[in-house]
Amino acid sequence: MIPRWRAFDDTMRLDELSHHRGRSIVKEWSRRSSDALKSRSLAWKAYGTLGHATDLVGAAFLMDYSDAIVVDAARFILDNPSPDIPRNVAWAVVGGQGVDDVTQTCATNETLYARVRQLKRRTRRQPRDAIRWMDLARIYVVLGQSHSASRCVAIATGLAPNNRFILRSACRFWLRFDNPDRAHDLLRRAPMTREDPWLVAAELALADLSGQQSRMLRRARKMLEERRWHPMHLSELSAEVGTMEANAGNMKKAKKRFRDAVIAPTDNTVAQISWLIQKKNEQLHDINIEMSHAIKNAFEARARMEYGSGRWRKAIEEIKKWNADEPFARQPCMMGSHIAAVALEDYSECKKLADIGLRSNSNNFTLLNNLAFAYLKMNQMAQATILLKKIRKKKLNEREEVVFLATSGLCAYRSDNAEAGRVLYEEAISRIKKQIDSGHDNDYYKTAFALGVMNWVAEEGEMNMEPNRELLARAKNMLRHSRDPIAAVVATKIDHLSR
Amino acid sequence: METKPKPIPNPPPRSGGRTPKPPHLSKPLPPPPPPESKTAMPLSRAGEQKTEANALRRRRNDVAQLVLNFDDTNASDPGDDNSAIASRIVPSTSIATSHADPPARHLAGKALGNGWIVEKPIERSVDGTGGHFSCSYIVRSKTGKLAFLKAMDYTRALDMDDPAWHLKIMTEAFVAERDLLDKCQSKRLSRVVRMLDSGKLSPPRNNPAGVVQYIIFELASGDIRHASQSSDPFDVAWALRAMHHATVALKQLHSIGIAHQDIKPSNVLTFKDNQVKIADLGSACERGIASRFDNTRFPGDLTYAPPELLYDELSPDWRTRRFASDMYLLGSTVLFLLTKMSMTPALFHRLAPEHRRERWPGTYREVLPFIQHAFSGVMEDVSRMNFFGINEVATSIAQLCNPIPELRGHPKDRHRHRYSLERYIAQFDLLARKAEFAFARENAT
Repeated sequence: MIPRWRAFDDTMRLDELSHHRGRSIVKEWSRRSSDALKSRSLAWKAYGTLGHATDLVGAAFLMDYSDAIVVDAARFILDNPSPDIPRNVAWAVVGGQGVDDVTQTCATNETLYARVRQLKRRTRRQPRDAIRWMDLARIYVVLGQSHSASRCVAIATGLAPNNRFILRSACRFWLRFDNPDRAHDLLRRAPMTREDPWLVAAELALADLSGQQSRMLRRARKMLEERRWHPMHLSELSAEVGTMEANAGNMKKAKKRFRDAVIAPTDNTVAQISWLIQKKNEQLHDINIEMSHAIKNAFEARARMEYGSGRWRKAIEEIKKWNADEPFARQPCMMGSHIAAVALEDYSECKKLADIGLRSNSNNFTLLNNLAFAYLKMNQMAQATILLKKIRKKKLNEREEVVFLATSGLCAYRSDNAEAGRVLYEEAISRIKKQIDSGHDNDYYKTAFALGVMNWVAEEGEMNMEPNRELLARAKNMLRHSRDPIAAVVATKIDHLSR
Repeated sequence: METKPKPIPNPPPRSGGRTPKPPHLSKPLPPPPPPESKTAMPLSRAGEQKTEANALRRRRNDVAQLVLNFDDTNASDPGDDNSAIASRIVPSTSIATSHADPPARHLAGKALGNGWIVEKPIERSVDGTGGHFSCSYIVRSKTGKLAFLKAMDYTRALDMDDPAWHLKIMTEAFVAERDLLDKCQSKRLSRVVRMLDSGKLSPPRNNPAGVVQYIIFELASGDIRHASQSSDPFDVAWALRAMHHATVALKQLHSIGIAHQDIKPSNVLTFKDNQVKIADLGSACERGIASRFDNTRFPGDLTYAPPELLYDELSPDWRTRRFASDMYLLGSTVLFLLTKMSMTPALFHRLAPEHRRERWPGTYREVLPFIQHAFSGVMEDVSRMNFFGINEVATSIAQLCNPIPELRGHPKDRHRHRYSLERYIAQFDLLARKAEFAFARENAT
């Protein structure tokens, strides 16, 4: 269960930062304070100055008390020239919304840089505000400035080494830079991790990712059995333990955990379960996550649901929201550009999404490849060639290499070098086939095989060559048992090419 | 116990009454405030008709039941529900009937024997908080000088369920306050409201419990709540000078080992000639001397309290617990002079409801990152204000009100002169002089 990393204000709005031990009233104001309030009411009635009004309204706000006199004083503050601070408090007392900062979804680089300037100024003035440091780090990550971000994360974790928001955000940061060990280490060392179910859930996931044995599993099970906390605090933990049970093949226990997890789910829980349902459809089909539409910020889960149902345009809409929610994440842009390019053949949409993703992930192979593919399909050869040159070939793994070969083949075809294109496609297809024969990640390679063949045959068609029907039939055959909803679209296109 | 001399209110202009102005500024001073309280409570005289006495008795019992307000609950932790204390403050009606006419309520017109003549009573509970065990009067000296008298009403203690306990608390409070005021007097603390006299009135023969002890203070013209809020150069100069005076007052107290613990707008009094002084030593603690507040989380008004005390974090170090609280309260008062809002409500307004003291079951250190974030938001609002010397004032507030009590005060004083106020005195004095000069120059042109 990888923790989400949102701006602090957004995380607050999703109610993910209340104390895990309770949400009800734990301390009352003393009777003496109530009497002080009465005295201030009398003073306000007697003198009616701004100072007496603010004195009364401040105390009333603190004690969550309101009556006609307090409201009268608050209105007096609002109706007369007064500074922002008493106005905001008075506004809260008369029942309005606070005039707090609103974290904007920073879409453009200009707004992001403006926000960086603002946050830098604030951290200079208040260097002990760990939350601001973490918000600043997040924007640096969105802008792809990993060194600056890393410095901010180090400061934030140094200032608040026990805070849920800081720890979860820092873990997400280290995961973002493929360093699960450091993320796990951070959580393992924090004393609060032993007590807070949100942190235990993250620790279990990170231990799994960093290939280590978690020491928290027994504690996690105990926490879930005890049910001492509000179901929302246990939701992510239930989902994580459920995922572990499902991965170990204990589907009955996994289902029980998932049912607990969706009592008061977070968007992250719903995303995790919907991903697992996609993966293990036949065993988990009876888990009800239809409620994801009522859960705030469940963009990932909704995007996966739309994707699973083959509603591509809706899936793209949700993906855009998911991207706005986690603008540094590569997953939404990779998924969106893939859908746009393959299912919708909307290359300008594919370009847009890949471009957004590349802002934070400038070296991500999938995004570079998808963008180059979109340019090639739009016959913008120069941009495509630059992008393909930008790909660091030495760092590619086998899965990425075969895709790169195929895209290079497409580039060769579009550059009127059909011979080179043929050679590159052939090599790509043969290497994919080899992987399928050796049984590695069959689903992925089978889809890659079908897509490679489809694109190759389409390019041959552009050269007025007869389609290789035998190859097309084999490609279609590969997709027969695929669980990927996009396979049906590819199969239809292959049929079309065969004709 | 309430110890503050009650100020005579200025006339109540709706748009903010202006407090006395600096004498060295050319702007004319406002007319002196009327010596009579606008809301003076009519009191019954001795020898009134029986029906009137009964009505008064009924009213007083009602007040006791409704208000239940007296500072002696300070002797326990005022932030907690203390059922033992709660039961003690319920008045016993059977005893109440025997003290319908407390002598402390009938001092008007009496000569106190040392040259003071009691003029008229002042309404309780209009200004300040608590103090329902004392009565306030305006008194006049032989030379015609007006002053403020606070008379202890011991008979109220006899109305309670546990009279002995209440009498003990009241007498302890009175003695502690008088001793502290004596000490301030002997050390010539110029910025703490002066005790002009103290004494007692002998009880009537038929009511030995009716002894009246009193303290006479110099008379204030108002408190800083009466000051108007504007960016007018005159108000800015006045506010900066008030910050300076309040800081000097606290420094004077700290220099003789006294922590005030209840600095708030209603306790920062304004006098003629633009003087500002601190009043109400009723919650003060003296270093090295056992006090009834030793086991109290915060003796002062909780709605102004520093955040760490609201979340029950008590430092074992006396200086951190008491002087650091005072520094926060001073910073909060400076913020009030600047914005008309104290720090605690401003801070909590920025805090999410689940992180406020009522709903936070964890420790202060756990909630601290959220408090720091809220504090940073408040300071951002402050630094955006259009006010002369705002950067320096905002920095001072940020240092004085630092959410970490150990870090309060100027960073350069953190090791050798922890909780020193010298730098703030110099800072506010400099700013006030500059503002006064700017105002004088503007007037000249």
